[in-house]
Amino acid sequence: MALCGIVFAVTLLTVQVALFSGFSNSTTLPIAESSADVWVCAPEMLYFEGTLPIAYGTVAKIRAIPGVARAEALSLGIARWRSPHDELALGRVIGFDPRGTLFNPGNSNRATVDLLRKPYAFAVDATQLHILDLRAGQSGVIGTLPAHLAYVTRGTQPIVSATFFYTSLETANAYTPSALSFFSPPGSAPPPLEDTDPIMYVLVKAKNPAASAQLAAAIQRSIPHVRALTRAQMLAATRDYWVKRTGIGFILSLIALMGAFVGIVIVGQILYTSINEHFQEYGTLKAIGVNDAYLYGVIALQATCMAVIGYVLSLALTFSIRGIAAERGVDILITPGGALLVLAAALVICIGAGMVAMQRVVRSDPALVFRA
Amino acid sequence: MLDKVAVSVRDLRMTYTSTKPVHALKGVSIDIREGEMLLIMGPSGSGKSTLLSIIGGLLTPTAGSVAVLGSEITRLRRKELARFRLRNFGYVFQGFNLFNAMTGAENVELAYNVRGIRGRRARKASRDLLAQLGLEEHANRPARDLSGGEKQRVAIARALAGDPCAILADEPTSQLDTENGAIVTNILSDLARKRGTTIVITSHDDRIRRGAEHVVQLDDGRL
Repeated sequence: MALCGIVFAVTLLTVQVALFSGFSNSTTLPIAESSADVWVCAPEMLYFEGTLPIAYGTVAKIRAIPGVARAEALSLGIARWRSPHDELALGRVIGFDPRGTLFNPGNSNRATVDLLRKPYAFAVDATQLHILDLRAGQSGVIGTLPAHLAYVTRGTQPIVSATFFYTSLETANAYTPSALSFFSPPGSAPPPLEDTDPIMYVLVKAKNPAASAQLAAAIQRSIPHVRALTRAQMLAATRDYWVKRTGIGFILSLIALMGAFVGIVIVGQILYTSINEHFQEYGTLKAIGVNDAYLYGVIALQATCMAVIGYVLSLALTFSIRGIAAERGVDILITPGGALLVLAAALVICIGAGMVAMQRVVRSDPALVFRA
Repeated sequence: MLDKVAVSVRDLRMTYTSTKPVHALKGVSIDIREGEMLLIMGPSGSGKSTLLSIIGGLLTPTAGSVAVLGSEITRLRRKELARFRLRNFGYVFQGFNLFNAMTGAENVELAYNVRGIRGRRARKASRDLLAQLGLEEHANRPARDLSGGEKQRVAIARALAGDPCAILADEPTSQLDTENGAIVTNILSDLARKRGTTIVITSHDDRIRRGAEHVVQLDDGRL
């Protein structure tokens, strides 16, 4: 019974920590999927989706900078989706070069990514199909233009974002409302981008990835009015925005803290009850003359065993619900750091609660055993 | 052997002050000799358990002194007293107070372990003790599965671990039938006679009288 309660409390904590890790990881998915060493964007950039456009011509300028192995554009715009059954949804159109190597959502193979070279073809994460009211092989409308589902990705949709439509730069440029001047005659392909067309990022591969910080500095010196960040800086900026500056991050942090608090209370109550049930036995040891350190040692050993067993079972439980959550686009991520944190928390909670509960035994009158 | 005083109690007084003062002991003095089996008799509330608790170093008296083998234990601090109890006393309780999830042998082994004797040595010593008390066949049974008489014999074996100078037993036969009560009384009597262990028993069970060399009556806190 005590073990059941501890498993419940530790599972609660594990799931909360894993949800928080999953959320934190989810916010940076588009960045993590890119192999770029440096991200170039507008100076106002706050996080991946919160930025201003820069000119497509920046790509060519960056390619000319020494140390740059490769540079590719990435665009990001808002689009209105209409499903085959005329249901509406808002989404984000992410345009990239399907022939490039620096951005590949879902790490799809070359033949699959090549499908996006066809005009008005897009890819979307599997978790978004029901939101878009869409099935494989079907088409809808983005803005006023046709949109054909070319393939489905997995693990590419941040939980905090509107649906990401992955498509080619040209199609993305045609879909986004900023391209108001673009008029597409029926059946025609969108034109290639011009130097003045808006994009959001230039993804840069460094010749020497170890020197990406120096390359970012060189890019920023060479091109005015842009900001160049290393991959780590870009990840941190986006993660920090969601975790520290939004209510979602606060709520998930609070829930994780509440999980820890509830865990402490439950485990404390369980161990206190368990010690009370064995009060006579501990009292007997105390009457015999066993010192307090021995009594604390006994309870610490018991609490450690309970914490470790509870932790292993809670991990198994958490892994078992991971698949169900993933189908709904919720990432329950158990990182090695998170797993260690939960183990440490479980040990601290169990041993701490045991020590507090043991106070009653330690402070008790040893003569009580003769009055029982 | 019987001439040496093992426990000397002088003018012992105990007043409980939780609500209104209750004078449990009102100036008790007694000498208990080494290897003697002393039976303290008296009705409920006469102060038997209080006297036994003070002699056994479990309770500090309001006034008076208790000396065990020349050491005045009523002056010892809490930790020193606990160490003294561990080295010098064995306890037998009315309700056995065994660890029910453990086997009989493990219960006795634990008593050795807390005295720093571990491993094979503790296992052998505990089995030897259980064998001496006729429990070798029950050594591996969980304490919860033993009969009352067997439990009390395991409790006596546990009290003997570490070879204490005195065993203090509180109503050791009150939960036993006549046959088992007699067995336990004989064991305690033999311990005093053959091993020279001082035995102090509180009881209102007349059957124990036969084995006791010295019987005192406690009434209303006075001998």
